[in-house]
Amino acid sequence: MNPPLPEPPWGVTIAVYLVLTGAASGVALCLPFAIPDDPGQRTAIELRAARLSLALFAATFAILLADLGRPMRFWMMAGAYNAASPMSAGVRLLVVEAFVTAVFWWLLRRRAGAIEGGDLTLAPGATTGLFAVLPRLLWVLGALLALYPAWLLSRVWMAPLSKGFTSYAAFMGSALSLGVAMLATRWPARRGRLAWIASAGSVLVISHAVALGLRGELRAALILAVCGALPWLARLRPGATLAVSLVSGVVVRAFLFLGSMT
Amino acid sequence: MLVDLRTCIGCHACSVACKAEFDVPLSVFRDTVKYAEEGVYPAVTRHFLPVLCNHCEDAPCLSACPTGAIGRLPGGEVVIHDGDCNVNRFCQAACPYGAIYIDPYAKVAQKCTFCDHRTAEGRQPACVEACPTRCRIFGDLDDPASEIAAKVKANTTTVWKPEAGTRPRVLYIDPRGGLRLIADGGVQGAASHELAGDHRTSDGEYLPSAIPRSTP
Repeated sequence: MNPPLPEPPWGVTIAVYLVLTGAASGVALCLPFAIPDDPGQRTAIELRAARLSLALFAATFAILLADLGRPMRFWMMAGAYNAASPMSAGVRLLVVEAFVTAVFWWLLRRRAGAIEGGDLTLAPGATTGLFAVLPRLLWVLGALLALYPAWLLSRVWMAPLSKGFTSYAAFMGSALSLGVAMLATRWPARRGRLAWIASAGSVLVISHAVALGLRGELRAALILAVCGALPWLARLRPGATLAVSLVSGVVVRAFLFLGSMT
Repeated sequence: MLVDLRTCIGCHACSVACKAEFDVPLSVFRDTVKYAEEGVYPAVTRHFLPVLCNHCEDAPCLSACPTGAIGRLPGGEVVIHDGDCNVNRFCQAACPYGAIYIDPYAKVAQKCTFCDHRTAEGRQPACVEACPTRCRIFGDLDDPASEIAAKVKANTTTVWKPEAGTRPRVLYIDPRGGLRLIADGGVQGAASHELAGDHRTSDGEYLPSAIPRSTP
């Protein structure tokens, strides 16, 4: 006759939010490895990646607003700051990453226009500096955004699979899988290199599965291990990287959030 | 607050007083009494376990809230400032006691305040005043002359879910170990636990004649 736990206050909407932030951060993390050696193609590819990231951020904000109910509620969260709150830090990360991506996209558009006009060299100055700094800043912010759900979910009772230090590895691994899935279709020439990144993501997810298994949650560990290993298996057939990495990233993130050991 | 489980009779006077004091909607609770049974006939025991927000010293809800809507009053009470709540529900997800609910009408998170509006006037919380067996004692633990300090000193006390590490400020005298039976429970019950006959319409509105059955 034990009274049951209350129903979880978060549901599928937040699971979708976690998948979208994983995809957005994954694009930032994987992009440096997808850029071709030919400098002429670099701007075009970075521009397409920035557009993709902005679309993912737009979807992320839409999901957040839908969950909160009113736009004003989002600004209440963005306007106040609680250093101890993972959600407070996460919202700031999201806003800053989206803003920096938008600035980078604007600069890339200008640069693409200049290249079309025949100017293949950048004039020295502040813009050149921004082109050097912004991709690195986006990569760092992307890494933090990939990891922050593990910090968020370590504070809640409703996501027992997201406890422990290795859950950070699982969230990073799933972000890499999603990033590979987002980029693999657009740059087939880099599929081989991206597949290796997906394999690295598999290792990270499986490390969490092993940690869960060692603690006794064997069923959850098996599901995570199988889903996490999919991108590594797809490495054998690079054409399957997109679909398999997408499925793996979505399932791992959603399962870490919604899955229960009971 | 100190709750002496030896004298609780499960009458729900505290629950009703709290509901009346704050006009708490159906199906959600700031304060309620859980029943837990133990043993096999004929050696059966029924425990009555009053539960409410623990006003923890390391309150997970307070550190979770991204808008600063949850704060601590000078007396130690953890309260939610309605105007700053943006209904992100992180406090609900962080509270191991399930003490926070979303008011379906006000659309904000709410929970027990230890009746700070009453205690500021020198009165007792509504649940304490209503208890016919005086199983609840409210007061200042730091004041050695207070009734609560004397009773805590004279008895062994425990807390609900000590493993959560939240340092609750609701203490229990629980010689029969009833609290361990609701170690997986929360102040709010799961709606899926309710018996047939949902008391809400498909739009989520509460029917006037509804009686929640998820918790006693």
